[in-house]
Amino acid sequence: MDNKQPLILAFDTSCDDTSVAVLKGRKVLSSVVSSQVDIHAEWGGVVPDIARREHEKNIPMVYDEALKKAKVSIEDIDYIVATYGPGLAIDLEIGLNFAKDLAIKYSKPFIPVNHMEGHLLSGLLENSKGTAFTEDVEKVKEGEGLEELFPAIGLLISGKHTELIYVKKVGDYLKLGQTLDDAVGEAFDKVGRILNFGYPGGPTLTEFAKKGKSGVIEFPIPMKNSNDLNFSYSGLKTAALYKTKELREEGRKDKEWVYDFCRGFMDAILESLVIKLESAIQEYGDVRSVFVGGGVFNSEEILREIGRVVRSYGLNYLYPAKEYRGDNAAMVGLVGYYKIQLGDYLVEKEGIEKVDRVPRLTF
Amino acid sequence: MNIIDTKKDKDLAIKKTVEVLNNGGLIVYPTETCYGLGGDATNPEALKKLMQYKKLRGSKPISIAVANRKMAEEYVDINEMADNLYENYLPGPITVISMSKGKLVPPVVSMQNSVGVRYPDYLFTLEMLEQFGKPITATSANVSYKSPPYDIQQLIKDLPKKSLELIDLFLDAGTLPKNQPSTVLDTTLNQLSVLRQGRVEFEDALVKNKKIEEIKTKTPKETIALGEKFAKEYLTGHQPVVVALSGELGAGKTQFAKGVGKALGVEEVVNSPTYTIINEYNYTEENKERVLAHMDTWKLQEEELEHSGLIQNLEEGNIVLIEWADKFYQEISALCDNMNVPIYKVVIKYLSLEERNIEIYG
Repeated sequence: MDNKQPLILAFDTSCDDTSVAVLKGRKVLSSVVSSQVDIHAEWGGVVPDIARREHEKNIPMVYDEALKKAKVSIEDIDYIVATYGPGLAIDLEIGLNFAKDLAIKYSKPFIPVNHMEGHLLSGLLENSKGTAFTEDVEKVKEGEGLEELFPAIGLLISGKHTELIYVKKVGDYLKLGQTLDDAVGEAFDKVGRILNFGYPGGPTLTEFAKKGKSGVIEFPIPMKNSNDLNFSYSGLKTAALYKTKELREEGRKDKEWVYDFCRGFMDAILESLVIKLESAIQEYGDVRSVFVGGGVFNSEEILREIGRVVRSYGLNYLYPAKEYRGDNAAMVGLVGYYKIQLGDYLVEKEGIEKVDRVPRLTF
Repeated sequence: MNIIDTKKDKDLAIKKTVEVLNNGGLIVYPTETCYGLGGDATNPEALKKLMQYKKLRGSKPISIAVANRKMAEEYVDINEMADNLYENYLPGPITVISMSKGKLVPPVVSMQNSVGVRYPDYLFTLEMLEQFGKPITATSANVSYKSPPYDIQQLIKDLPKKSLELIDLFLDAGTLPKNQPSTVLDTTLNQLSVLRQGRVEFEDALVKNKKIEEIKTKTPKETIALGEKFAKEYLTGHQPVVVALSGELGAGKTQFAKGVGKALGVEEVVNSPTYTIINEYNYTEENKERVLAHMDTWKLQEEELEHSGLIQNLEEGNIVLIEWADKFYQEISALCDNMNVPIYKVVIKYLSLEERNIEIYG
């Protein structure tokens, strides 16, 4: 069975990082991210974007490393996959062209993939031993039972995106809602900036929230009564700016109120997410699962609280392991895997050459 | 192997530590996170020895530990953001990245000339640092790719003999609570002072321009409406054109852009381009396919501006809205001059939580 699974090489350069991964079916054999932060390193991970976005320089190294770690050679690969959107055109181009050239040179079938579909399905990834990261995926045996998970709702939150998706089945999506202004991760980072935390402010804010008390400093819940499935965080950002000014004008030191402030802000964000997710679940009564993805789920609290809501409806909860929550190529390879099942890939050289990046690609 | 129990005889421990550090030796010392590896951060010989121990780190820099803010100030520039961290959260498990004053050498300085400073919330170590009078290295005492150590005996058991021999003194404070490694906060990026400087230059430049509108808006909706009205009057039919937007976080720059999108007939949701850098929206004008480019310089470094897609969009004759345009106003206005592209400036200021004063210059 295992030997029949295709060997997939995947590229993603839609973001700051250059990412390359090798998968055997749904199993991740290797996943290399250029700026990969060694968790034991003190501060090697924080460099300005300019240094990180050097996809052109990074990609041959990251590609070599991914093959090496997976213990395979390019000749062994069955399919090549690359993100073609969304993202900055100049960034997308580099990974896409590198992948297309490889596919043509080695006569491999090629699959262009939507980066956001990668985040959406990332909960279905398995580690190299073939174990999924959530119990709910374990229920799904290869080739049978996948349909048991659908239809589903997808909640994707990162620095760039905040989206709710209805997933009829793999490959069949409907966008239900999105942010009208700032993304959740962006709101965290910007309010971290207002509080003068330095970079990255967002994770610091979620850390500090752990030390604060709920209900001491309160914020308005964004879009509470909007009657749709959209999100908005610019008003919350303004409220945070004003509240900060107010507290500082009272002459109180930041450390006296900052933890309760972060707690209150976190509560408002969480509640806004929960309200919209519950509305979506109620509106689409046939859903069996909730899939989540995106860098904001690096906050264990957000992952846990959303999970609590999902469970209360008796639904499956699918989320990726920590290393696949942020941007990575493994999730892109996984989408490629499902496209292979659907026979959705390009074999002819002419067809592969024609694939162009789509910076504003959406569901 | 030299091991001293810091709890039994603190003064002896500090005295011995200072001796070892002065001789360019290496120590293993306790902090509020894990055991750290210390050597005189100003002594190249000690740093060389340290790198033999850590190996395999690539070009990743090593942080320094200081006894107090004053010691930090001797080696790094403490800007407004760093000042906030020192005043409110330190000593504590945070590494603050600041620019070097030039007294330190790699590996305690990064390629960008920045230094990571730890001001640990651990009494013994603070006293020891004060006695020594100079910063020491602050890196976890494990060899590369091993877990950070919380127990001296365990560390000694885990270390290869060669690594063990490089350590001159172990300061044993028992098993430390398993706290997470320090949070790293970079204060060298996106500094307020840079934004403020940009804003001053931007506002100085406005004096030479004609004010074509000044309006108070009471709600985001009114800001959107103003953007719509402005676009209809000044933008359509005059492409390529740049609209430079300036205003604090949450002032309503994106709301104004929404109005422009609405006026042009953009059907997609116009939302914040901060993280995407540039959003390109299609719309139709007199049966022709056109593009509205909405960009943001917040996350951009100066060198990145020319790779952002701004020039291509102007070459294609598009309308380009730029949030945080004041940050790179000089560059943007020089580019517009060269390409003979008109540039409108929109300045949004807070009057209250909801109200804004909006000025538009031609």
